[in-house]
Amino acid sequence: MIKVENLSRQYGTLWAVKDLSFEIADGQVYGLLGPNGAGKSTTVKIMVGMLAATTGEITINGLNIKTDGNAIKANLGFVPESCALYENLTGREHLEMVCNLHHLPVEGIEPQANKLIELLDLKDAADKRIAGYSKGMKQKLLLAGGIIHNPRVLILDEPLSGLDANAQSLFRELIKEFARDNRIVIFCSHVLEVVERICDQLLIIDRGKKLTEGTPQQIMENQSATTLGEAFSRLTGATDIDDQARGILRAIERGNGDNG
Amino acid sequence: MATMAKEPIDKRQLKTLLKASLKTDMRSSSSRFGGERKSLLGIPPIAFVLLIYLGMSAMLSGVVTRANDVFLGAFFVLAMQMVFVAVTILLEFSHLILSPDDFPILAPHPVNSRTFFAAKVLHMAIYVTMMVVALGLIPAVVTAITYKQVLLFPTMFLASWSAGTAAALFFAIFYTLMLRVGNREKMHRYLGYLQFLMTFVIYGGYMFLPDLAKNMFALSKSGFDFTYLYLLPPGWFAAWPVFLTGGISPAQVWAAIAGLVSLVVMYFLGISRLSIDYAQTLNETVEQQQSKSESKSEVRGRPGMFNRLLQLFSAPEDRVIWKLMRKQFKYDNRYKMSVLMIIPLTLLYVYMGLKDGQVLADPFNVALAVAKGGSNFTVYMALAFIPSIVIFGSAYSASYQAAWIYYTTPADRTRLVLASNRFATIFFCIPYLVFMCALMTYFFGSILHAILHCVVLFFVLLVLVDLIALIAPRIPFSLPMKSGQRTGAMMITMFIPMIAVMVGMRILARTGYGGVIGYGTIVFVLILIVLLLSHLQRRLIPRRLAKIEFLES
Repeated sequence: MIKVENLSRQYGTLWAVKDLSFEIADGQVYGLLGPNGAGKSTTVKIMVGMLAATTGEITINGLNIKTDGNAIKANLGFVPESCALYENLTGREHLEMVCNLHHLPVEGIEPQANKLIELLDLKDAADKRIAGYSKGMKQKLLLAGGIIHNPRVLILDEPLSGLDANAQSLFRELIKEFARDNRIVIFCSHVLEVVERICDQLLIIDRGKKLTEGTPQQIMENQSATTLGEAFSRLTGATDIDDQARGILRAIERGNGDNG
Repeated sequence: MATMAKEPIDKRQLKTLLKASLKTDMRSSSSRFGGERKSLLGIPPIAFVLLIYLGMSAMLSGVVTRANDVFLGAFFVLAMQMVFVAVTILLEFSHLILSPDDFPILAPHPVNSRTFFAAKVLHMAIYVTMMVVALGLIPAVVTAITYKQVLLFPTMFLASWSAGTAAALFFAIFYTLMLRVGNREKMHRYLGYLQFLMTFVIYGGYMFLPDLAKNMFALSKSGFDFTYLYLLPPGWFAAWPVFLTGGISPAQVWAAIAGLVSLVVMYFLGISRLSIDYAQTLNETVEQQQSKSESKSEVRGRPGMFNRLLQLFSAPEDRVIWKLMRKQFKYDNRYKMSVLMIIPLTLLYVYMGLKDGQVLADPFNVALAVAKGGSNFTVYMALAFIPSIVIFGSAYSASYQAAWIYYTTPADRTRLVLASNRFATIFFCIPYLVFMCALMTYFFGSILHAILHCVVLFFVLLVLVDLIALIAPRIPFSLPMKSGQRTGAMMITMFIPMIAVMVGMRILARTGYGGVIGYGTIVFVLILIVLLLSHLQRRLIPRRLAKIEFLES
């Protein structure tokens, strides 16, 4: 179980996250949604230990991120939004690196890495430098690195970007399998159709604050919306997207009047 | 993007491009929400480079006063300036030159070639001017005072600026030509080798220039003819101030004209080579080359000596960092060259320490050593800068964002820091000590004395490495590299330990070990210091690292 209490993070005078609280039960796929700059990535980065919280507490399975960071990380897998990897390593070497940083038994590293390389269709590229990988291949490698140590909690920040349709299906099924195995998956994405399909529970935030929480169905009902996209637009204040689009077109036409 | 060479320069676009370039320079690697992230001691890297150059210009002014000849003095000053400007532009500020990445950014916008060229040249001119002011202002003033002619100041400064601009443009054009002809990765490698050679020139220059200048000035007094110097580019510009002092020869006139012509030629060559059309060609060439080189597979086979050595170390953090350092060394040219720089430095310092018949002092035979003038501490200086250069070079990387992995895994960050220090000690410092041991055996005439002395040096080295980790613990490849940072940071990390080693070795050369008890005491004290520092590392480094967050882009 994950418990986040009054989490806040300040950058100078700006609060990226303010008083955020939520709980995630075992076996749940928990969706973290919000417009750009809402504070999703900051929340996730605090949860995985990349940033420190200004105030607030995070406990994962009874352990506190501040005091038991490494014990939590041993059971936590993270797939970051950016494809930041040491590109001079090969894919296989990256996986070996992750295993070593997780202190996995040396003799188990190679077979484990080989298995994942094969299952994720990275066999042909495994011994090539990551510098030559496509975005999708890097994303697959990041996923392999995120799960190679068999974590109980998996945090995915925009994991589907750059993946082809087959790989996206594989990722979705994998997330469901994780939850069926009573593990926790935190899923950040802007692709609301996917979120609606795979998440059990959703948290929508904006400007660092909680807007709403519940199942996709509950959120849609509460907003009297037929789709999650509609509910999301209402909650985040983007109520009349059509008007906004027309307004943008009018503005650029007026601004470039002499060209037109 | 059509060729638009005939179109006029768009002043608004020029201003925008220039402003964007300068802002990018100033803000590179600033955090997402926060303000500017400063370099070492809070000084911006370019300011650091300029400060170092200002110090050099004071040294060059000494050459002017001793030359007794306007041309000869100007020649030396301008030659040094041209080398420094070209090397700095090429190695530290290569982004000022045309890059294949320029095209994808600008291609969708209606920027014409002339505007693009003007922005590139102005951007470079700003940096060249800053460097020329730092390097040439003091020598120009000193020239005017020495020869009691006010007009020599602006003329000398103009010559400095023109020489610097010509050098920068020449190397910029050369660089873009090479990018077109060769592979980009290879080009970076060649640039690295050039940097390697330039290290000899820069550091060797410090050591050889005073001797060379002294010899040339002596020859000049004896009436030796230096006309051939007019054939060299610094001579073309050094001829300008001579017009103000009279006694003009035809060679000087031709040389001065050659200076002007070279500037015009560089400008026109630049128009075609620093154009957006050329950027497009570069981008296409580089994309083809990259797709070829990146699809090569690494050879997997039986574990080599390095991997077997790795397996000896039980800590997984060591395995991770050592492997990463090895791979970065193999493929990251910037890192490789910053580390390899220690070779010319070491050789030059050893040469300095042993030139003019000096010998290495045997600390077990003080009377003989002192009698022979054996206080050549320069030989020991490498001991101080080898760990600094390797450890410091390993902290900065273009792939610094990949360091997220250290924060999200249960890796021991103190061990990660210490792993890079151990790498520096085992693969760089110990081989140097072996080399020193061979050298000492030759000079001391006793292998036992050499080994015993090297044992002491080994402990001194451990103290230095531990101190570096304690003062500035850095997770390897986790910090962004800013232009000019390398020069500035290297100077600091080199000079502080160098002063400590210099003082220590000077004392040792005069006092010696004073027998077995003295030697034993020194070794015992050094071991105690190493143990104390290890204890402090375990207590203090985790505390300091706990406060460090992942650096966002």
